[in-house]
Amino acid sequence: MLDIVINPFITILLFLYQILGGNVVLSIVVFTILVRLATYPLTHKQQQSTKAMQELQPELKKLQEKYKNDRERMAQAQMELYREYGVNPLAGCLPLIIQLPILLGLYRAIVATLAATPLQLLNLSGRLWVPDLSSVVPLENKFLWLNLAMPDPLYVLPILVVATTFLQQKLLMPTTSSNNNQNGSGNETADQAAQMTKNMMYFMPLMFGFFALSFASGLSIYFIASNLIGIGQYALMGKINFRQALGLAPAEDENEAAQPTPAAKVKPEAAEKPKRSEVSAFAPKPKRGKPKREGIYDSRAQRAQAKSRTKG
Amino acid sequence: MNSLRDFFVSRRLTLGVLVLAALVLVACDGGPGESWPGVTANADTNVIYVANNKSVVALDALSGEKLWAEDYTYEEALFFAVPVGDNGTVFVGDYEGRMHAIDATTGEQQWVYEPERRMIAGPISPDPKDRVIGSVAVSEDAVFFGLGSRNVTAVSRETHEELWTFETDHGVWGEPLYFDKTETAPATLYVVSLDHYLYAIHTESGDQLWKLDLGGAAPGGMTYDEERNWVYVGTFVSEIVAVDLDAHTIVDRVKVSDWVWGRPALQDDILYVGDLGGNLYAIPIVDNRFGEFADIDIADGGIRSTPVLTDGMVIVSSQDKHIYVVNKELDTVEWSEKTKGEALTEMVFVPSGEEGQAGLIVVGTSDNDQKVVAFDYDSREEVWRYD
Repeated sequence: MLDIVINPFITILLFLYQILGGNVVLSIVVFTILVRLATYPLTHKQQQSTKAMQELQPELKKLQEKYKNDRERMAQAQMELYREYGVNPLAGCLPLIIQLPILLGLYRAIVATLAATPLQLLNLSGRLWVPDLSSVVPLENKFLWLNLAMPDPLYVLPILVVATTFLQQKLLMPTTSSNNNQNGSGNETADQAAQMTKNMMYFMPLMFGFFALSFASGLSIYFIASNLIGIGQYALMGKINFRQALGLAPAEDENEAAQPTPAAKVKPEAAEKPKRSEVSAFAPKPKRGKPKREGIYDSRAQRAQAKSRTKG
Repeated sequence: MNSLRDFFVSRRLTLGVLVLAALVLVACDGGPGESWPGVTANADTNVIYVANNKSVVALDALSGEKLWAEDYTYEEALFFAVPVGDNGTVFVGDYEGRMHAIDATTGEQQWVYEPERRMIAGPISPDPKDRVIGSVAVSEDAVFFGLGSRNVTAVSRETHEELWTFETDHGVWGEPLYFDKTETAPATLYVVSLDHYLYAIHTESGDQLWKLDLGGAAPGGMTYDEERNWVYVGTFVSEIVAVDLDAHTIVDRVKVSDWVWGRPALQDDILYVGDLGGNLYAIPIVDNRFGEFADIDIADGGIRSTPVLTDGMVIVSSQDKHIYVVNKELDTVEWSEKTKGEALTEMVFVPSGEEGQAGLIVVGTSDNDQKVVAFDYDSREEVWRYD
């Protein structure tokens, strides 16, 4: 099933290796960049959806407080809120799920082409879409002190994998989550989510560090490249506050966290949106267009809401 | 709705665990946790030696009775290599770069060579562990073997210490060929590597005598043609290459359909070899060139092992969990028999020694319930199995 993804990936990786002068590390890095670029629309949608969900957290919190004794009504109100803001709560998952086989394909392609074991090399046969690339199989496995088909004996790469994975998790961790977690306001869902995110921030680096310790160091190169490219990508999208994430600037205060996340960085028009406290969830609703079919983040609906609210 | 909310809460964790679980599964696929059994036979004593996972076992070739077993308690002592018997000793390398010398009669370990690693602090070493994947070549004084990632090592049979290491740019997975010195040439070791080269190495000094670019990775061993002083090598550019060891040149090459891993078998100036596309070839050598070959698309999986030749028949095992018996013209599959696992390892044919009975075909498989199985050549029935 994954062959649909793995085979072209193996072919592309070998092609890059051939045209980049047989430099396997450079090939892996360029390959990672290409895959990141190809999956950028998915990443972007996922980010938008996550951001939209973040922005709704204060609203959801208020609903939960308001209907804490009536779960059914709270559920209705939440659904209404999602509709109103044109947010599809499941939309954040879909891009991730689509990306999963791509990530696995990439991973398998690197493992197979390095041919660390006979079974992996055997598994490579019949996968090349361009038979001429057979002449570069298997990839050169020597780089600096490393044998790329074996774990790093000096543990440098595992440490870098842990560090860059942690950094990426830390930089991308929603700041509102931590604030929600700190305020002890009884927003159980937000607290749990924040805790979960925090756990993942430590869990993921350790797991990937374990992979780096156990498997071919070529994979560690991929992990590190992927993390750094990911950080760079999000930085270019303006979604990372380095100073805050690194603790050089104070975190947003509770009031800031309690209002919809300022969207001005991403969408200036969304920043005009009034605080939710000024507009009840069940106040007369502004007119809005038909919800977007895929509805990941309906900026048009938001613009319309913001406009009508401002007028109101 | 509550479940939907719970989904949001656990979404990150669920997806994270999914990714990690998938990575673990994928990483284990074909990883170091799996091996295929290396099978070889001593024709004089009718003993089969099997190296698999953490054991080396001796079996009676005709009955399958276990004669002895040497189990290793190393953390990772996987065996891929085919054991080699020489003068009462069985040599086999493991997945941590060790070379074991085992008494062929009793199974007792005579000695073990463990590569020295410089330790910087605690477990930190600049020397990564490497694996022995291919089998060994043995001289009177030394044991020669390639390593999975690169290099060839020579170990003294007397001191059990390393004599020299010859550097290659990639792994050496096939069996080296050793030739004693002659009036005109020093004792020489020939190895083929995944780095595309055939190397001739001076066995006393470990220096390179010459090397030759084969055009593609050569994961298997070489077949020696004594009459011509040639070797034949299969490569991953789907070629069989004939190399003249006197002239240090490629004499001829023939293109086949898929990658060639297995060592060709030579009989009556015809090379028999399978490829990873499941094709079997009979390539004649005519006037010191490759002639027009016959082929048959026989298996749904790759043929990795060297074909076994009997009177008039070619026997091959395949990744598609079958062994096939084909006539030498390659136009008729006489019979095939199913194995429980993928049959990737070398096969052994054990003559029965009795009138009217051909013997047994012994093959290793990837299935734990049938690590090694022996089929009667005439009746095609399973005679014994080792699991």
